Amino acid sequence: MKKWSLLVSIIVTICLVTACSSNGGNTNTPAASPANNNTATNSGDNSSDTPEEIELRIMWWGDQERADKTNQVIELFEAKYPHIDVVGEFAPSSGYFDKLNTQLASGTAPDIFFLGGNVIDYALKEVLLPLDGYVGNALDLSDMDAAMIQYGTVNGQLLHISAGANARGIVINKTMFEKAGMPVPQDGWSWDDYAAIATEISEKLGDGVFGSYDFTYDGLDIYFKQHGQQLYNMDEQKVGFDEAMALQWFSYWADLAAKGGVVTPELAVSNPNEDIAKNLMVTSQVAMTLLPSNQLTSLQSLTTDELTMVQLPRGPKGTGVVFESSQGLSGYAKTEHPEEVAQFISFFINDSEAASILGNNRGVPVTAANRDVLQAQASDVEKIIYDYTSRVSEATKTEPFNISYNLPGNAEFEKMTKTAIQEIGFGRKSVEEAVASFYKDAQEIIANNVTQ
Amino acid sequence: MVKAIANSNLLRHLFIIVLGILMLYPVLWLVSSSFKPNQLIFSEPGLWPKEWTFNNYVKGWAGFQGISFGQFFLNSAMISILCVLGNIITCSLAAFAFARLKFKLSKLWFALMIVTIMLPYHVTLIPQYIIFSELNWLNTYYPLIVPKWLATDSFFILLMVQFIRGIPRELDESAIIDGCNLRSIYVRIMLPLLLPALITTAIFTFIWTWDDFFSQMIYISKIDLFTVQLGVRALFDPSGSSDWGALLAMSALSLIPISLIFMFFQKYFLEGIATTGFK
Amino acid sequence: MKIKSARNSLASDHNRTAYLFLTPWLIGFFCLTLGPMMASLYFSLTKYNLLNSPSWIGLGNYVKILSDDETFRNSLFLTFKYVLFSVPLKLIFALIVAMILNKGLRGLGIYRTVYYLPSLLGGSIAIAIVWRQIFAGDGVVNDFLGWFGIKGPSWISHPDYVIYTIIMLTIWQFGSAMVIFLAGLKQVPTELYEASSIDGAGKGRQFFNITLPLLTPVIFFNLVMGIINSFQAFTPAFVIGDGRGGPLDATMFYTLYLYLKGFSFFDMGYASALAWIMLLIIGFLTAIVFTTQKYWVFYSDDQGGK
Repeated sequence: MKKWSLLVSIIVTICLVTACSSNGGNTNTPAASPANNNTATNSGDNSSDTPEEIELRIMWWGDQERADKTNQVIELFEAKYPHIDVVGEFAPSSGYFDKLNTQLASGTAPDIFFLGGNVIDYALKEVLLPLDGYVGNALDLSDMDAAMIQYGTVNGQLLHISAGANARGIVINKTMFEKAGMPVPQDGWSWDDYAAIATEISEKLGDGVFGSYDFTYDGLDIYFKQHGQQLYNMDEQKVGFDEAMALQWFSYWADLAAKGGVVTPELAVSNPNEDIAKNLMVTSQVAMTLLPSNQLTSLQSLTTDELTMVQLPRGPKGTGVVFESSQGLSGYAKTEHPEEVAQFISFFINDSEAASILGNNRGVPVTAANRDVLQAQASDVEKIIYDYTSRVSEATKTEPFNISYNLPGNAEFEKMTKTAIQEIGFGRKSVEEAVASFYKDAQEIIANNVTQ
Repeated sequence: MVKAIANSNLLRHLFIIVLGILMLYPVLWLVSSSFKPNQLIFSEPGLWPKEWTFNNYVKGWAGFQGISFGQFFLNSAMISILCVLGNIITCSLAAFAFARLKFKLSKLWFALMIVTIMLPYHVTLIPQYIIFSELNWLNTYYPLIVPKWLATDSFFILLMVQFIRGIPRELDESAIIDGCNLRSIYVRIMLPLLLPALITTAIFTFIWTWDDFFSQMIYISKIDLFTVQLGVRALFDPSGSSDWGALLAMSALSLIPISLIFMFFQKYFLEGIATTGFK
Repeated sequence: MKIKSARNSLASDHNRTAYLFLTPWLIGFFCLTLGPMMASLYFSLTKYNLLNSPSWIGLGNYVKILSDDETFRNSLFLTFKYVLFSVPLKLIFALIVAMILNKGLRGLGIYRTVYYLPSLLGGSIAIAIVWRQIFAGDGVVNDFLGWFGIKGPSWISHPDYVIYTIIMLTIWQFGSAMVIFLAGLKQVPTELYEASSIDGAGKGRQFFNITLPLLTPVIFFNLVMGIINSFQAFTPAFVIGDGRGGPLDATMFYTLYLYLKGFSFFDMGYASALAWIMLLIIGFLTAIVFTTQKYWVFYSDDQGGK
């Protein structure tokens, strides 16, 4: 019995010491903490006698393969800059942004982190490190595509360096077209062609086979650009399109769905286009869809059907497609080592050895020199990708387009748009009603997210 | 209905077996698919693989960056065991106090204890994260384990309170007359009588800690500290090429320790510990 | 005199022991729980985008939630529906299976484990893959229905049916409730059954006169926790749905909406307000259940004690 009360009091004491020793003040004022943090974690435990030795933390999302590749590049970097110790952290994609947001909110974010289509959200909240001052010395952008640099520049500040580019295009299942006895579509087609082909192949290949995925959402910004409008007008911080334009695009898909050329809404939910493993093209149930070029590799690896890529159907101003960033690197505004952050980013996009390790894992390299490195070692599928992307580069020379920015509040906008599309698909709302509320909600989301 | 089933032994067996198969089908699918080559997992409908492969297990077990899944299993096991001990000790102490002792403000504390279960953890996550980061506990297991040693899982306190209230009060009152003090009543009378509830707590804590992903993901970044759940998720990338085979193989493997734990502990439910000691 | 002082010392012994035993919990409550709870209450009165400092807006979030938020109303309705179906069904199912498994059958350990296996899988990716496979338009469930000439819909992707698939998933993972019932059944003294058999009571009467009353504290626990946990249902929306509430908000559970608002849509102030509204709702329901317990929950320690 005495033993027990002793044990209990020991436990209690340990708990007291460990849990309550240093948090008395801050539990009550967590609101203040994001602003005035945090020096302890960044400097690490490098209390050794070489003072210039520093530690950089970098975080990315993805799978094991990407982790292995990225860590190899980190080792290369450390070999070249022995005084910098880079600690790689990776989170599975399903929780990456939760983790990043938690770290940013508590002031413990890594010095460098990857961002995707939601760069604007982070840029507007001023948590990203401006890199302008390092361009030309620590950060070498001389070989990087101008459009990519422009993409990383928000409100006049360079905040984001793309680590991989791709171009969206129409992926075609050639095998299905052969089976239907139809010619494989070629660059230069129109949206009317697209609808006619989608309907025809649906009819020819019978039940459960469809001409196309419904890419109302994925192709939104491209269609707007084809008509001289844009998704988000960053300069004026408002929507860059009018309601009639949106109605035209949503109606196009509603009409095509009515003719049976599009995947049913149920199937689009259970087998969404962006989930490569479940994509219906793998099982020869969809003949055409819109995807970023770098995903062709994964898609082709899952099917024996022969796949290829063609340009998007043309609108009045052209295809509307440009190279765009699939994801990239940003520095943390509160990093203690901004110069080294710039050095690492520079190494990551420029070093040729790094490029051959990383391959197309995050998209096509953003520097011309590294694209040549990879093109030399390309596989058959990758050749199709390079062939497609070089056609895109050619086209942009005569028909230039701006890179599209996502709306601030990107995640909410995506959710809202997909709901609107499903409301039409499941017959809950007419196209007109759905588009009207879509347009209204889009404006509201922007308003909520630009004013701080 | 209860009566009809209970009456007929044969019917009862039939019911259990048919239901068991239905219950088990998804698990069997998981295990059998883990022996299929990647391309066949989603295209081959049958449970019995036409083509067997152990490659998924070999590839999955290899882990990454030189750290095998074995390490992840050890990490998960260590965290789970420490959490189990914490919950059993601190929650039963608190439950004994709430259920049996008369003390000042007991109603208030009890109500607050219930309220803490009701607030979803997403809104307390950030402030809690700030506390742990101020303590320099990021990338350690403290944020996962210490809360259990501070009885923050009110679920188990309430569970044990309910069980203690099912134990007749005469047992401890007679012990007091025999000269036992309250602390020895807890140790000598309550703990043995509470064994079914303690085992339940142990099973749940172990399994829930083992299966937990969110807090492990938030607090652990270093790969040598990764747990099984983090390792499994790292095999999964919806926008890229997930290694489905390895994912299913490691998911199946991760079921083994928790199944064994359950099998080991559940046999205590067979023995009527609760009553046989006290007649 | 003597009796009184003995009582006093007993009372103070109670007090001291209680606070000694509650020390870990009290530390946890004050250091880890209360602070964050108060912080979230404060956030709920601010516009807080997670990355910049919160700014005070008073009751603005609450007003917007209650007056002008269709998703809030839908998700609340959906969650109520889920609680109403899944809690009683799961409890009844768990109780029946626990009763059967509590008898002396051969190979019981195996059966119990088999029945518990689904709960072991929790909300893992593996289970998401399996369930989507089984309940898809061309899944096993529809193959089965096909034998009877029924052409089933896609159970996971039609907004009208997906909630029932989630309820099925919840019932399928009845293992935890079952284990608690099994533990409770173990507490029922076997002497009571023996005595009543001698009196000639049938199995049915034994169940309603002995087992059920003695099990009420555990049923009560499972009911309270079932209500609280179902209100906080979160993972099923990731296992069955897309984790974004789709299709058409048919998997937009209350906690999922709160999580999306806070972490994906950068509106932690709004999310915190949602959390406190939910706390009030759950608290109210739990309080009702607690006040009913004197009518139907039988505690052995009340007998003769007071």
